[in-house]
Amino acid sequence: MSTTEETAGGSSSRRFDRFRRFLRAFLTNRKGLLGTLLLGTIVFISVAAPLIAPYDPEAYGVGKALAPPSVEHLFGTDDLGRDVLSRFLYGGRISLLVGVVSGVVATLAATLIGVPAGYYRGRVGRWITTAIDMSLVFPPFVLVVVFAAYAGSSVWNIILILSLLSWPIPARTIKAKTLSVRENDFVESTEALGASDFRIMRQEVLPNILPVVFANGILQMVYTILMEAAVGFLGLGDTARISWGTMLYFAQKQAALSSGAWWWMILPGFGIVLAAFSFILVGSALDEVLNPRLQRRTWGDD
Amino acid sequence: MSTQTQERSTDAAETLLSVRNLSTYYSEDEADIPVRAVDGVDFEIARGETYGLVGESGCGKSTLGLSLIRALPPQGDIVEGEIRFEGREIGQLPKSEVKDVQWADISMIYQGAQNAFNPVKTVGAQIREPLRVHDIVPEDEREGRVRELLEKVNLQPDVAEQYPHELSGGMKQRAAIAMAIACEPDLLIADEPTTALDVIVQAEVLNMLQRLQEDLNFGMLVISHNLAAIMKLSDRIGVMYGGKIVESARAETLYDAPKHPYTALLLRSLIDPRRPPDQVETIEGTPPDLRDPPTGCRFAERCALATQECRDGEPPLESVGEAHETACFHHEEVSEL
Repeated sequence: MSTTEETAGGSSSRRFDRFRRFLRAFLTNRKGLLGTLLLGTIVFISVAAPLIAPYDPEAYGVGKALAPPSVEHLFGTDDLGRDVLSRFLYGGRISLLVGVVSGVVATLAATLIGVPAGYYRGRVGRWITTAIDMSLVFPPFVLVVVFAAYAGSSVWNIILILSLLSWPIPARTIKAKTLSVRENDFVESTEALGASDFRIMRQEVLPNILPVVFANGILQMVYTILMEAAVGFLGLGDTARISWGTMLYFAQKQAALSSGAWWWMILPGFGIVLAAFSFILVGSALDEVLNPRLQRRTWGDD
Repeated sequence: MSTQTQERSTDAAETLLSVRNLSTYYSEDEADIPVRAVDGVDFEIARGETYGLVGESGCGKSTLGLSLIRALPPQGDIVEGEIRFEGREIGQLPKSEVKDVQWADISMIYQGAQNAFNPVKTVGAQIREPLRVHDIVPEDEREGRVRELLEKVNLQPDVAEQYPHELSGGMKQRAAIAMAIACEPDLLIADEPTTALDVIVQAEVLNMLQRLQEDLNFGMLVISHNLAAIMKLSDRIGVMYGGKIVESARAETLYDAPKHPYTALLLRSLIDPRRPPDQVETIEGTPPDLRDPPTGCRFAERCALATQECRDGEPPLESVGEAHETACFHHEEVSEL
């Protein structure tokens, strides 16, 4: 049927239009632009580390031990004579990997648990909510330490434990948002229409809370990046791999500060702060652009 | 209007919906004293007939509508009575079995259709939803069916690709009607179909409902506090007060010769532009507390005709003329009010 094709084409180009308008609004937002640039840079140096790193990050003695910054070693060397800049460029990979993967997993879990918690009234909703509240009681940091000590500190173990521990807080936010969306007449009318619960959650509730899910996901990544750094700094990270957190751990362990080797710490510390900051910028810009109340003015309206 | 409606209601003898002694209560939990929002209501609607339900806010008319389509909020419960739809008892059916009846056979235009649309989905996608849930039209024909439906309610077909905030209130109301008739239901419940619309759009919507009813021959239950709108649409009207139907009659009979003091006062509170505003009357007092309704007639407290008899016992709904019932001991004195 020709009309069907026309409409299908029409609505997909319409969707693309909306996406373009969203992108324009996002990039004209100052926070969005700055955050994207910073994050883009971090991702770029991490991905392109083998191409741009001046030395092999694991090679000992490429310079003198604890050499201060010089033309050969822009950010000096560590106690084993490894190039700090090269190690920094590689270190971003683990930080980003852990941050993004456990952030995404935690947000997915939070959505899968938070939406039914808010949608089902009565006993089912209360049970799920109680489960969320009970999970909130566990002190995440202590558990990470214990888990890393027992299960070993491979990267995937760290990702697993961070994901397991960081879903309850976003789940509560998503539950709260679901509660308010659920009270809308359009949810009630879809119920009266004979639609199943799953369908209502997916078709009616989820699209309305997606901005909240995104904003939470980004914040979650900030949290997991910082957690990974903290775990690494305590020496509980995967010491066989370079991450900004473990760089700081070795620097601290070899008393870099008291021996005056500031260059050893400044780059990884800077990397962690910058990564967290850029995620916060992106998250805040997303919130501004996707917030339905601001949306109409910036990009939603024709 | 009168001759035509009379013909219609006598032709359509086949009963579509019959409600017997229906009671719907709201309570937060077992220990709570229930609110008796609907308390022993009887009425029936014939195929193709329009039954109007009128009464002030909180009298239970919306609850009655939601009971019929079995979409009560979780605190609400049908505690007694039966709802027979095309001969089938649907009032006590489990939720899973009710889903086939919902929308496919009984659909609803929600109070405040403005909010009945999901802001992040296109209007077309939402009108398509009932077709998809009930799988009535094959998938590749649904798009065309949505366009047909939009045309039926005088909307441009390209409204299907628009988002709710791009439509005016009247357009949204018409889109809600399109959604309600999507599965060609046998009974359409219209809860306050004209509230929040300006008078001209109101008239359009009412005419449209009437026209669609003639085309599709569905029974209609119109719920409103707007007596004028109800009068225009309905063949028969039930007046609800405090969870009960206190008077039921053909629209014109009710208008010319009300037999319940509440109906009479309701008619006098109608705003008529030809009458000076100081002659518009209000009804003194407030509706009864439905957690603890008075023993006798529920209107006695606000009624000028009330006697001790009214406070002691509840007047039954009795026939006072052809297809005219009222629940008042003093119905003969109402004309003198």
